[in-house]
Amino acid sequence: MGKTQTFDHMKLIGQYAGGCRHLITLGRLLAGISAVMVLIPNYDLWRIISIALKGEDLSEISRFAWQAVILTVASLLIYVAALLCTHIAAFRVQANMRSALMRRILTLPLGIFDEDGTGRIRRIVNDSTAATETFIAHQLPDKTVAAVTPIGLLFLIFAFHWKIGLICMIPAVLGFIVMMSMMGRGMQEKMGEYQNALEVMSSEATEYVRGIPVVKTFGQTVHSFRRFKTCIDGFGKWATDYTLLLRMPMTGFMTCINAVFAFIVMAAFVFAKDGITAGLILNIMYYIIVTPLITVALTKVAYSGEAEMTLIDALKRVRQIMELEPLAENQKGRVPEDHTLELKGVTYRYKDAGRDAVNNVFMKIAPGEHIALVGPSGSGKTTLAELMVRFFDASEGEILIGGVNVKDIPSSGLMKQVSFVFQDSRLIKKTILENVRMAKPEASEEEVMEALNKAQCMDIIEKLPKGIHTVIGEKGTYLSGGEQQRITIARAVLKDAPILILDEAMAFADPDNETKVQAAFEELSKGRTLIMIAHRLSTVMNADRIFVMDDGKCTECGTHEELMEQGGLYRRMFEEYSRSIQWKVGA
Amino acid sequence: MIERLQHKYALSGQGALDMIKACICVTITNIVLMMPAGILYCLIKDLLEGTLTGDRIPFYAAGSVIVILLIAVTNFLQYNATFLTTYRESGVRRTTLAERLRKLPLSYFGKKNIADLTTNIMGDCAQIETASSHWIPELIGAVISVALVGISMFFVFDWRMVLASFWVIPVAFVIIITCSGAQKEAARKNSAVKLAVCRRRDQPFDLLYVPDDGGKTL
Repeated sequence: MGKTQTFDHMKLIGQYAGGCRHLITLGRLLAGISAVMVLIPNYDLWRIISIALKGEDLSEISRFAWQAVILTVASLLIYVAALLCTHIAAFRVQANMRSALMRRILTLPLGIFDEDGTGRIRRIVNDSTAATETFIAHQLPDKTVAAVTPIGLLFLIFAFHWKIGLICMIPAVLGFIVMMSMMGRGMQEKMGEYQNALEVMSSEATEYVRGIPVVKTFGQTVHSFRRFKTCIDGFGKWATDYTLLLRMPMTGFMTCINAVFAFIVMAAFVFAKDGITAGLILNIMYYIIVTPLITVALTKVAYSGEAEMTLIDALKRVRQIMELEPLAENQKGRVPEDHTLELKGVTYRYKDAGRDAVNNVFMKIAPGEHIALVGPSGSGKTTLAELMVRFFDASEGEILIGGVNVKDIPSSGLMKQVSFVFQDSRLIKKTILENVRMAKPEASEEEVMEALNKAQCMDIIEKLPKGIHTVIGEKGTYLSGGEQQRITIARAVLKDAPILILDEAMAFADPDNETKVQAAFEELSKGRTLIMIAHRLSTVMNADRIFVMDDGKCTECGTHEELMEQGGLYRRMFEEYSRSIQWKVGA
Repeated sequence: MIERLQHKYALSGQGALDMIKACICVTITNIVLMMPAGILYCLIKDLLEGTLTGDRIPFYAAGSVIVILLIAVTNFLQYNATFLTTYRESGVRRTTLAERLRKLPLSYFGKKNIADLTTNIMGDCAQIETASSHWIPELIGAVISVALVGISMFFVFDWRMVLASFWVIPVAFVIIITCSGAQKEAARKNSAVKLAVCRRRDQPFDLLYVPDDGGKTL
């Protein structure tokens, strides 16, 4: 049921389980034993009814009754033991999967996180492993039960009066057929679609929440909200359609498995024609008691199939991450001759995207030059900057630093050349000292202090209880967005790389912060190549050269004055920008 | 009552009404599912008294057909009332949450971890969805139908037999209620640990953006 031939999920689970594999086997075995044991009391019942009807030795009744009670309790205890085994194994598998995933994720190109959105990857690390855990802990033992019970049941049903048994099986078989029609190949696809829809919604939610501060600061329209809402509505519609699709089969299934009584009545009439004997009454009573078990067993089979589909889907998602290509690290180990940055026909297209995010861009930036990238949002500024630091490799063209292709520079060497402060450069939950020192682990405390000083962070340090030894993010030591940004700038100062890429993200900055961040940027860019992704045009006027990006292409290039004379996109943007400033002042 | 439901399960007004409807549907379905037992009771009675003759056929045939039809209809209605309405409600809930988030003060986003927030929106909504489509109406419906049928049986059958077959239900409830404190505590701990893992697990993602020597210090 729902099995794909090519996907051996048990083998995969075995690999993650390691030594705990045997615990899984033991758990399944115990579950099977308990499933058999729980069926035996039905035989006791048959004996009890038989004694009662035939008026044999009545003292026997309590013997069979006790036997039934003891067997039931024992089977329950064994089942608990089985669950214990599988739970322990399941937690191990989950932990192993997660750490394997995290190890893998660290080797991936940084661009993956932009491309897929960290929401998706987070979800896989979290939810898909949790789904695997649930499957091993609960569904694996239940699957054994679901496999063993029908066999035992068939025995219970056919051993006493196989003709009545056969008649009772008709509705069960009918229900089974209906269920199979529900669980076919299409179902597996639907399950995948469902997971996808959830995933899209999850990453949209992350984007939405991340976007709220920006939206609030700039007082933008509710565009991001609308996107999230569309997504929610899409999911809702999909789920509704799906439930509608299953409505008739589900009703049919429930009706079939609950119609067994009618068949027992039929059987009673058929066999009563030959005269009503105590034996017939015994059997009819017995089948009335036993047949509900068919319903229970069938439902268990149904759910174990569904669970398996969820599991296969989860494992496939995990495998997707494990199969992502790490950024190729070749062994040429070349060292750049100087700090010239050159782009030759660089093109990049995101996976599955319909158009190029960056299209055939040429530029040459001399050491020490200060340039600005401007353009409407979505024009490819950030992607271009990310390509320079090899968040991902260009689809076409090449990026050279000091005459050497970035692909031929070992990543540690590349990182010595380039520093970047991106919008989402964030701090981790460690002390400020450790946060800044990440750029240069061997730096002394004095060096760190100097970097903090240059990045205009002294006022932040002073107000913190333990100075640079304060752990960020603990109770009472939250930093504002602008403050966090200054700390990340200090990090870049400490690193002291010749090429600096700055994303001028002022979304968080309040006016006081803004001047400080601005000053920190200026300090940082002294004597370095500066590539600034500018969002507001007032800051780019002093740049040596301005590159205007539009729809992935670099359309204009020159100083502020030159571009204003050309009267192209830059001029239009600048005029619009000046107007908006006046507006705000006027208001 | 509607207001209490709305508050307790984070429902809209319509959602609370739908949930009540769902509970009623489950109750009716359950009672219908007990009807076959009535027919089988007659059957055993006829068998024991030797009155199972040809002229009983119309009674059983009609009874069976009616009960099967009732089962089909009530199951269909229950399906509509639980699954279908739930998914409609879940969209409303998510949108309301998103609206609410948008209106919160900026400082909130500085203080709250974004991972927590998104976990809240998505995970909890999905949980509420399953709960309100599967567990809650099922549980309430089961309690009502069993109570109704159980109590009425005392008037029809030997009270000792009824007692023998129904004693498990109050006992089960006592066990659940006495254990629910411990279970709640465990669930609370579990979700606290989960959030902590979420936050810690986010750190590597943050670290990836930290400009250092190619992620080697990780």
